[in-house]
Amino acid sequence: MKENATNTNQLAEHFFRHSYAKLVAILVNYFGLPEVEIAEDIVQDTLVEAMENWSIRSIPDHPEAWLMDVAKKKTINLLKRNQLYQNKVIPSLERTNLDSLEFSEKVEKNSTLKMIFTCCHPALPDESQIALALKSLCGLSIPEIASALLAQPATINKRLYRAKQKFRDHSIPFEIPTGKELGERLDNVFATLYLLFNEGYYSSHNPKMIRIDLCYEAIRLLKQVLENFKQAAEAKALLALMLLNIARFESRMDQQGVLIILEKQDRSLWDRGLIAQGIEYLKQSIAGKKVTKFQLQAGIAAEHCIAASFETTNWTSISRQYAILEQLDDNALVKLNLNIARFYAGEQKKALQQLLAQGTNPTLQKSVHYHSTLAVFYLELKLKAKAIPYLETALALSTSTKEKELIRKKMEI
Amino acid sequence: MKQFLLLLKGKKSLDYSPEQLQERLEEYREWIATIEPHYISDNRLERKGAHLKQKDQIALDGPFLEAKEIIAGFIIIQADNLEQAAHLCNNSPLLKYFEIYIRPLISSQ
Repeated sequence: MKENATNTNQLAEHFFRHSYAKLVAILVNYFGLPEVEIAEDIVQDTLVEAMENWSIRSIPDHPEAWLMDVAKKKTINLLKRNQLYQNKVIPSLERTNLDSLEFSEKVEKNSTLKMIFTCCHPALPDESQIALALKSLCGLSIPEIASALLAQPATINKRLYRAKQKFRDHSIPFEIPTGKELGERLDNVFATLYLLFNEGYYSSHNPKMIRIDLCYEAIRLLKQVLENFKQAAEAKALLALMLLNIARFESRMDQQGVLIILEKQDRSLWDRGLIAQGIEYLKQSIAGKKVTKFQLQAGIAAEHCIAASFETTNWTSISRQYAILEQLDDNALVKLNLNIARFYAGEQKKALQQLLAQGTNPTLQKSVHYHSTLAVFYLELKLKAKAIPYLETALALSTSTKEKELIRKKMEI
Repeated sequence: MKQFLLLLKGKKSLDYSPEQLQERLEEYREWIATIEPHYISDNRLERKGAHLKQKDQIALDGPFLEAKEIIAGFIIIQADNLEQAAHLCNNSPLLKYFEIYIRPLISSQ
């Protein structure tokens, strides 16, 4: 113990959380998806034991192997108990071969990947997918998920329950899809990880505003997928998009936690290393045959990242990319962004007209961003009187105190 | 210097998230490092155990015993007096999860 006190060995950040996720995946691989709760219990028990043991003794050289070993023993004990029961009740039941229980790194990687595909299965509702990913892939507890997603723990429980019901009725397989199905299922995985990332990045209701942890979890999981599907151009494009966004994290809030708009951000705070990585992945993704949504979004983010200032940003390139994106994804927010880019690319009148023409779109009518953008256009054009009503609408629509502060600031200009 | 036995009795359920478990581990290791000159030894106790009140009355703790009733472990430290021992414990992160009984050990000399 004395030796322990001076021992400098430390566990990696979130070691317990990530180990939880890995071990649950391995056990589910063994028990089957309907028994995910048994797997979760065994793993929880294993972590408690680790905490108790490692407090006294030093942390083992290979903590992950230690955990796997203990989880394996616990599993075998449980199976023996079950077998005893089953042998009495159903004597004809075939014995499970306990020796075949394998906890190697290879099994872990394979199981985790299966778990990723499972949590991102299209048969699960989006909100269940995110809650499930946080529970099973990131090892967050229910209260932690609730606070990350700004929901009540009971709501999260319901979402997880719905997912586990699907597991129980065997409607979702625990496997890595192959053949034709693979591409489609990978798209589902990317869509869910994108949602998870955005949940962290654009959390307009949270006083913390940016929950960087969720973003890093999405990146970690995506890298794991990429490791197994090195040719997936779409994965690279999405990873580029995430890295290029996260590179600008530091500059997005001032010391009081108020969001800073792009124009006013201190670009020296942007993480050059992450930008370089992002651009590298973006380049690699271009090897894919077709232009994709993630690629265009990453391309747009890259333009922002490499611009020395807001004014010198290549708005023409950005508006061009948005125009292609609009053809792939005919959605109101893309149109909104397209017109913002056009506005700064010099096509002010066209941009304003197009934006006003979209005023009947129900999504935009409820969008704070739409109204504040129109206000900014008018302010830029020195037409403050026309800007005010849009700012007032934006203020009324906003549910975030930080955002409201931003809007009020604009009114004072 | 006198030796003191610190008995740890659980006061909450053990249902912590992986992140919280890790935090607990780190807190404890930090605290132990800070009291190093006073530290002698410690150990955890397994959750199972037996209780004998008199001959032939053996009560075996089942796995259903409430976590909060469990003596979870002990630590032996050395300190000048009971006050100093209590002061050391007062700064322990263990207090969040355990009640701590401090009992001086009678020296064998």
